[in-house]
Amino acid sequence: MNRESTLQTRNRRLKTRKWLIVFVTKRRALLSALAALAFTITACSHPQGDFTPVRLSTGLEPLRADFNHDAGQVRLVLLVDPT
Amino acid sequence: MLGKIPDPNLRAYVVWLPVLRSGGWESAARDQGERIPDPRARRYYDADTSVGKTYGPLLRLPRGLPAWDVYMVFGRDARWEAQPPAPAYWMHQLGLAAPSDLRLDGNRLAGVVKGLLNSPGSAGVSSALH
Repeated sequence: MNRESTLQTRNRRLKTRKWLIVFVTKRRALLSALAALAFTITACSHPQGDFTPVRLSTGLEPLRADFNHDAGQVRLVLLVDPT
Repeated sequence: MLGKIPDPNLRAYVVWLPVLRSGGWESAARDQGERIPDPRARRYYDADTSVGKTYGPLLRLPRGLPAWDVYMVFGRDARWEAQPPAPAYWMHQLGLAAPSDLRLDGNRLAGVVKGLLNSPGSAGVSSALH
């Protein structure tokens, strides 16, 4: 009886430990997914007040892509020296 | 210009070019960008003045002079294919280096933009290219 009770307690502990491991693992995965999502949103959005100009490549991208993306709108292209 | 025309169908691309020999262009471009907080505007820095060199001959500027201090308007139909499109209209602050009748006049330029916004296609303004 005593031995049976010890085994039951041990099984219960093992079960609890298993659930704890699953919980921790899942929580880590969830936190990683949330961190990735937050990073993506931050990287894709233009933070308010950040007016850093985008550097043009030799193919004049992304100006060309933006210009074509906005086809159907009236567009102004202003070429100016910043100083 | 953007302040004068609140129409959501207007977009502006401000391209900063290092033309003057003052230096510090990129940081200056960042500072200047703060003066244009309009969400319809996008800002670019063209370190090689490639856009200016491309548009210089297109606007028939004197040989070797990049297009800068130049304000170009494009109609709704304009697309940038292998070659950049010619503007429907443009103005400048290049003094004697460009046609005097196209010297920057903010009201006139705003009038042209409004005309294009009110027309369904880009046929509202005849090309100012010679």
